[in-house]
Amino acid sequence: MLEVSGLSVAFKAGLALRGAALTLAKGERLGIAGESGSGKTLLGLSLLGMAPEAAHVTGSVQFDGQELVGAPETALRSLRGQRIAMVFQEPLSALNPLRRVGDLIAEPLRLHRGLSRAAALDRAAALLAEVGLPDPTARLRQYPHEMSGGQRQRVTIALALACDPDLLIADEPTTALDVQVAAHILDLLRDLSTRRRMALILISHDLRAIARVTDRLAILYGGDIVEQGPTADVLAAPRHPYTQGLIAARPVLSASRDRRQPLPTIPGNVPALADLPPGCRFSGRCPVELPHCHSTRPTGNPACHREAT
Amino acid sequence: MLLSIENVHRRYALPRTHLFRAPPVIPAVQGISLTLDRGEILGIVGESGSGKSTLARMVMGFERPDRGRVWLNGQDSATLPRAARRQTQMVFQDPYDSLDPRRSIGWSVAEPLLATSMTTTERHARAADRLARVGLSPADMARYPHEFSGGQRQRIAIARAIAPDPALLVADEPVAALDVSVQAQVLNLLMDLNRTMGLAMLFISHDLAVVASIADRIAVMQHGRIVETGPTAQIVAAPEHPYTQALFAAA
Amino acid sequence: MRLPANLLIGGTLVALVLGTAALSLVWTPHDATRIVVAMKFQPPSWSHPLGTDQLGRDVVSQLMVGARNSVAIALVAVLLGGGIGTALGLLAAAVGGWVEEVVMRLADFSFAFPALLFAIMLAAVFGPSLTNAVIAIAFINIPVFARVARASAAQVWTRGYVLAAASAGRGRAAITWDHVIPNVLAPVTVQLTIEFAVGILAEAALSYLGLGVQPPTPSWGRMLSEAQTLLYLAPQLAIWPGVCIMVAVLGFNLLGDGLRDLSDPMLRRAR
Repeated sequence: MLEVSGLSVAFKAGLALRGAALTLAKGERLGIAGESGSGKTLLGLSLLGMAPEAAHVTGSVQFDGQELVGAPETALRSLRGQRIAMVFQEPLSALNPLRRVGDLIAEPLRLHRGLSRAAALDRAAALLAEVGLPDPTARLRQYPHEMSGGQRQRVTIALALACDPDLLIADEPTTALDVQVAAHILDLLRDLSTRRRMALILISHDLRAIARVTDRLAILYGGDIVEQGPTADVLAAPRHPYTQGLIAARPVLSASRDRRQPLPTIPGNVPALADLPPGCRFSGRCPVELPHCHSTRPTGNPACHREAT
Repeated sequence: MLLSIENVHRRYALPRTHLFRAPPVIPAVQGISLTLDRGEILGIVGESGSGKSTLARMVMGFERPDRGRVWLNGQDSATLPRAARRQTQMVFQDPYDSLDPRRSIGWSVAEPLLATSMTTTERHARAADRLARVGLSPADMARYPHEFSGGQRQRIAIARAIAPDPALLVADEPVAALDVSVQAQVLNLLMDLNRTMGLAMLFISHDLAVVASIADRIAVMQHGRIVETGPTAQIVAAPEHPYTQALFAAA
Repeated sequence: MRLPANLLIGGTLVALVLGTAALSLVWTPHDATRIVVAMKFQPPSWSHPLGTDQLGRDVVSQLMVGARNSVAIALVAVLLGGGIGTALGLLAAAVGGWVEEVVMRLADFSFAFPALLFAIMLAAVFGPSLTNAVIAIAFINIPVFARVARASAAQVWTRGYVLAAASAGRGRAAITWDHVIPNVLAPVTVQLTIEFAVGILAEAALSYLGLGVQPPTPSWGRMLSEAQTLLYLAPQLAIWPGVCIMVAVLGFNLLGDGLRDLSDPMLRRAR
């Protein structure tokens, strides 16, 4: 359904995304994991033709056979919100504070589906029930600020579902939420995807969140997809040195941990866009680096010169 | 005993909703008692609104408890002179907020020493030493915060906190804003300072796994109260309170 | 780095006004106050590029000296008012509590009071004079700067680095000096440039009403006031000081906007 190939996004300072390739089938759940500066948010935005103006996007994004890179704004706009929907990190800024929840959700239904106000509000109540908000009819009359963070995120999800999208892109949907609430929202996203046979892309820095929801996982570092595969396999047996480091550096709950021992780390810091090495982006921080890693870009999956030899 | 918190309460008044009614009140901390020994790391776990940050602010003396006492080194913190407050230093969550953008790194790290009897040369040497301890170069002293990444800034903030040789470090979500690969670096640094300087810590986080990886003891907070406390190994192996178990399930 | 266009244009206009004012200290084509009745209402000529007025004084020379007087009065008055206002704003933010309430409510109160009316009142009580004009303009600037400084300072006081400084045993005065002032300097400077424009306008208005600069000292406002009665006879006498006021006000306003544009993205990048 979604086929991304050779997708690159260039800024003045350098390539923020370098030839990304991804495929996504109907109803499939893909996780995109990366740290700040990895290009994960940019990747999500580029799929919708929403990369910032200063960015130069090349490559191909095909959605149901339709090319989205370079597509006219009108074509993209009719896709967005209808067939592809998006959920962001901060639910409060995604909801107009001056409008009631019911009207917020009813608006796209009236606009795109031509429903009457009453029918649209009925549908909105059904959507709120679907995302697990109790007493949905009463909720319709509430304003966003009258709800908790978790409830607001449920409302933005209901809003995204309004036009029955085929693909939902969620960018750090739980980062602003408490641990327990976040777990519920993640479970909701997974269940919705199953029930509606809706494809889901979950973008997150949190491997735990991705493991909870997705079937497949792509790891992004410095604008490169360094490794992708079934989520369980990648997390259980990571092959790229960056993925290995990332998984090892994650604090894990374990009664047997000797707290006198330091935690495993990845040395150094994530380099700025202009300072990324030309070859493997991870070179310079990699514990198993080869001489040509810095200058030659590795290909394959995982994208690592060690793997090729 | 380095720190002793005795049945502290703290409530906040919200803005008045009605001219003639008493403003609504949020009880942020409702009767908390804790102790912390020299060189010990006490982890506090809780979600937003659990009162953990209010507790930190009371230990720092930024706020007074409505009821109860905070004892530092056997002295009531409410009557502590300003110089003695340097015994307790703090590291904040947002490394982009905790360094003055218009002050050089060297100046910022040496700032806690300004109100002491140290000479300029001594302060400079101390700042250089502390920067080296957190893994930065003394040559960075002339640079400004915007030249550093989030993780580096947090190291600088830690260097500033340990500049006056405090006995207690209050760390409120010190790694929450950092990338995963940098979090472990900062946690290791804190553990290292705990070992080499005998620095005691009140380590506050919403993330049970993070707290469990560094703390000797853990206190779990919910709605302004401590619902469970004990040695880390014991809490991790057999959490007793339903809320702690729920945190485990989510982690 | 590319400079904003309004900064460049504003800077050029301001430089022109300041340059002219400075030049008038050492050289003017003629003595600006010398009356030669025989030479009245001269058309533009090589000797008098913009002609002469009803008393035969050279218009260019008067405009040059007028620039000096207008700019000097605006500068002194705005710096005085800005200094006092900023200090009050910093104090309010540092101390808080009832001090802040009193300072800010006084600022609100003086905002509700028309500035020109206050100047007229001052002149009515103490007599029209240059000093009173300066005091009046300074006074109306105090609440403006008190508000700008307090708002910016209050933001700085919530930052983590201020909490860190406080926990290092640093007092409010030391924190104000080391952290707050450097961080509010940018917004206060922007406000200063904008208020210079207001100050020049205020000086012109007061002098026009006869409450500011007293004859024979030339100023743009006084030139306008004298030209008013001769509007049908010699309209050019009103036009030139008007143009000068416009250029100066526009210049300072553009410069202020430009500085704001410049400091905003810089602060954002620094974060």
